[in-house]
Amino acid sequence: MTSSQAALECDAITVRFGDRSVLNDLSVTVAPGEVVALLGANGAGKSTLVKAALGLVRLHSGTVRLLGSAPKSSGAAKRVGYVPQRLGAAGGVPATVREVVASGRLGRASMLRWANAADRAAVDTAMQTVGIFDLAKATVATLSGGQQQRVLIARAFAGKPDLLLLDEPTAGIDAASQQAFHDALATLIEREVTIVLVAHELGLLAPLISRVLVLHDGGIAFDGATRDAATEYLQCSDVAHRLAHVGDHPHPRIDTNLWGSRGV
Amino acid sequence: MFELLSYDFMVRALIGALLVGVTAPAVGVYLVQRRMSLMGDGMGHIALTGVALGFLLGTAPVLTAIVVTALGAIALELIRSLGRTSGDVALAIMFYGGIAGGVLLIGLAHGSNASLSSYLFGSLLTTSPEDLMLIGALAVAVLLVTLALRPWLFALCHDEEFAAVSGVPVRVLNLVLAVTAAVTVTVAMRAVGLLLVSALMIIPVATVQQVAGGFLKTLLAAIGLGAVVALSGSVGSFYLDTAPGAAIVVLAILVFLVVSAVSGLYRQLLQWNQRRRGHGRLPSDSPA
Repeated sequence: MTSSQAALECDAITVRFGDRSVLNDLSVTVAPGEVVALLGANGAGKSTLVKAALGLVRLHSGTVRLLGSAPKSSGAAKRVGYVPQRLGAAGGVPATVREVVASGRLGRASMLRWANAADRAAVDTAMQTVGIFDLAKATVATLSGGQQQRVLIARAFAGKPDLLLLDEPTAGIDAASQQAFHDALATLIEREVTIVLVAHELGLLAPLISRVLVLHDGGIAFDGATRDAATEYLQCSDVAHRLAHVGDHPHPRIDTNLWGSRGV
Repeated sequence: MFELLSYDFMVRALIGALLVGVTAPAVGVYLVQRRMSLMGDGMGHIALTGVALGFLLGTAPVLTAIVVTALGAIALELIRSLGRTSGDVALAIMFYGGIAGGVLLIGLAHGSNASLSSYLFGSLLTTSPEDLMLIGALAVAVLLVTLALRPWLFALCHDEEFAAVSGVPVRVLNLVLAVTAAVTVTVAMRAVGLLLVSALMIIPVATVQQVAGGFLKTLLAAIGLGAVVALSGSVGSFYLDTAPGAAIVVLAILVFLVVSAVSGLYRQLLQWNQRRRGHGRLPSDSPA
């Protein structure tokens, strides 16, 4: 990746579901290393923007580039991670935590190349990073909601992404899992991974966020620093309320060895 | 026991049963994983149209069944992924269309519905050496696909969106899985019949997943259980003088019921023991 190349570039994208426009001629560029939070009310288009960026919904018009590559291309697959909402953490057959996390390595492997030692090491590291290594042999369906969410995060981490997109990663999870997620995100930030996450509330994550995009009616209503978002975007009282405590956190806490002995 | 091995037809029947018992759960585990357990049933109905087409054209019904079922599977997959019709509606259309097409074509072929009965309910004991060769070749192909592509098919069936982002060719693999399921249905129709084919794809998986921890373990154990019930059911039907297909499926259901009861009892005892020791799970640890 060259220094001038954007991590994420959406150029005048429009997404329509039937006759309804969800994103309207939206343009946004995320620079390498930025940590961007997508905020907004329900139906504002936050999750749709993430899915459009990943090529999971069809664009009516406009273009998207991920680290210079088209979504779902082999170039993007090797370097882009995705954490969906919790839905789908457990399928019809009881898969183990290790099996699910290992599927995060497929983007790094060519078709029909089976897992090697490097893949297994990356899976181990990813599980350790989010504090679920001890649960490697457990079946995902038997875990709590917070633990299942950590499995999905570890799956994305296993691919060692340069750009990570997360769709409401902390929605409905317990405090311990939120803290574990915060710590894991801090580790990625130290590695200069670009992060774009959808959130309803920043909570613990607020000090880690470098930029806030507030979506409203399929467009960007605010784009700026986290601290400014709370004071300048007062039209949207809901978002302002959720950002109100941002100033309490001066700097992100960075620690690379936070989960070695921590339980889940 | 060895008496039945003195009959060539019985040896062919047992080999056929073994191949079907191994093959069906190998595909079924992916259908269960993506919560499409009835897909095999839908394909069984479509295969009926293929069999009837074989009668109409005067060609081997197995070959026309493979072609028609594969085309039906591809159509179902395209409707599911591209159209606005939901998966269960597309499946329902397969059910109705398959039966109606089969009865219509057998009428045009001036045959009777009785001609279809050996395919509807299975006819393992009439398996010819040529049938066995074809079943063997198809079974090897199905096992190659389901085992060699396991990591990619697992990712696809577990979370299709994540698989797509990871560069997994989801559309191609969806079609491969659909066609593989279609081939499995036609392989299995001689053993258990089109009406029961889905049972051998799903019941061993449903049985094993109650006790096996993990996808790979479930896959391998379901293949093993499929082989055991297919062979045991065939042997049992020989001595009881009943239809092998029905015997195989009834045996599979009995095993499912026993495993369900025992594993349920074991879990209850485990929970009771945990409560007794005061190590109950915290509210935050309850499964999602």
